[in-house]
Amino acid sequence: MVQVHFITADGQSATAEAEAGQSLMEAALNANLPGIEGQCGGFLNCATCHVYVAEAWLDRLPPPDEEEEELLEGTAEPRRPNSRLSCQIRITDALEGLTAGLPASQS
Amino acid sequence: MAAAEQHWFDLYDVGLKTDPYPIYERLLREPPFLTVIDGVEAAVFSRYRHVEEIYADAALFSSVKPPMAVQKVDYFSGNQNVAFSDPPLHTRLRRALNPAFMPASVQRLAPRIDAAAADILAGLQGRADIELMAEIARPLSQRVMLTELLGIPAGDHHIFLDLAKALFTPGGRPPASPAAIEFERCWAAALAYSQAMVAAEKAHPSNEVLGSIVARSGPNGSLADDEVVSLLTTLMTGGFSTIASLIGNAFVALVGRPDQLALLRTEPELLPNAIEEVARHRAPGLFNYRFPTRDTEIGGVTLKKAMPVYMLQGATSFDPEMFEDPFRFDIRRQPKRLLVFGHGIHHCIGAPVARLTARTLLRQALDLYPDIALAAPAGELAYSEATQELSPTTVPLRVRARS
Repeated sequence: MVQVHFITADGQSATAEAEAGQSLMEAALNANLPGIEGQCGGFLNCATCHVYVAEAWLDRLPPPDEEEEELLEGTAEPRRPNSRLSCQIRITDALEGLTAGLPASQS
Repeated sequence: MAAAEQHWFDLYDVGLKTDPYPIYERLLREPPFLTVIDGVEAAVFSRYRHVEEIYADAALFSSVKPPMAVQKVDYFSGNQNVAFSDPPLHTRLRRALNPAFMPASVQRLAPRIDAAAADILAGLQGRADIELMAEIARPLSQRVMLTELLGIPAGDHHIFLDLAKALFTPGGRPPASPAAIEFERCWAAALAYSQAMVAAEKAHPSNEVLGSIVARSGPNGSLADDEVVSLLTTLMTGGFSTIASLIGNAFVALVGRPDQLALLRTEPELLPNAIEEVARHRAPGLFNYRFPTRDTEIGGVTLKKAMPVYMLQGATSFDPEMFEDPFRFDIRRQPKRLLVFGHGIHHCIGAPVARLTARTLLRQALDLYPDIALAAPAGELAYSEATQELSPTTVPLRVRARS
């Protein structure tokens, strides 16, 4: 299991256990964290699993593809340079300790 | 030739609309099964994990209808449609629609939905007896989709209302039948109108949604002109009935449960939860279907290539593996990962607009009316004949406005 950390918009932190191969969105939903909706189920359709990845981790992720880039333009909370859709972040052992901020709203 | 035996479950049972809970309870106790639907062998799934698995695998479960399959729900008579397409076509069409329905775009629509709901309620001032569907739900959903989203003048709405009616004629449209002829007439009128809209938008950009779709057409774009037109026609007919259904179901579920309505009045921040619980308990779309691209097996049922596979998404919300005490209606529940608007690449693109419209109207109605009651018992309401849709035809309300 890989531990990942989330920081909510009001500064609370939470830890979720994820299996390698799962998406960061699934890890958040399985941990019942408020702040991630994932309405479409993780298929690059709805932009409701927006996260702000902590800078230290950003370069360790493959960059967003063209479709993710398009959806990031339409998130409910403003896009920042470290914005990602958590359905597109695949958990690996190398991401142990990854930290992501949750926006105040997703829709 | 159908090899399977007829199962007790009837997809067209009106009980799925009037009192589905005993049916769902029994389905969820029993395994998934093969049966005969519309004269052909078909599979039926009700469990959350099976339906989720089928929805998630668009390569194994195609959305493109084989000729003559599921005749009673072949709405578009073979015309191209984003809902009944597979990748890569689906990806191209969906990507063109996405910008208009992203959370930020829907937020920009919020003030206009607010104003539309306020207008409609203001028009009913002084009335104690109101018919929700005809006087509020349908006019509001029509205005949200056609006027606010797509900028179509009210005088032209009938073109798309007529087409929507023709599309969802219960029982299908056998070739050369009056229903088929009426559909062709409506389709041609909507097509001509959509073509004119596209031409006008290209000449003088005026509408955000239309503009974002039209911008992808042309020699260097990803869409052909006829694809733009087919996307518009789908948008203009697919949306308003789902929005109206969600509104109707919300009032029946909440006004019909005075304790839950009182709780919502005391804790208005529960409103988004309340609408999710309505969608869970009374999904506006009862079922959907797919066609395996090869022989396969799910939940112990052997599926043959191209056989209709029905997913009772309305039933998935009552799967005890997913939801605790599933039949209890509770607006404090925070239902996530619902399958009622689909799941995967075909997840309903308009669901955020439907949720926002239902929330907006309910908030305004609760502010305006300290007393709202159903003027007919919830169990006696009639539902639309469209087979996939759970939509009350009339919801009589008795209201008292704040003095």
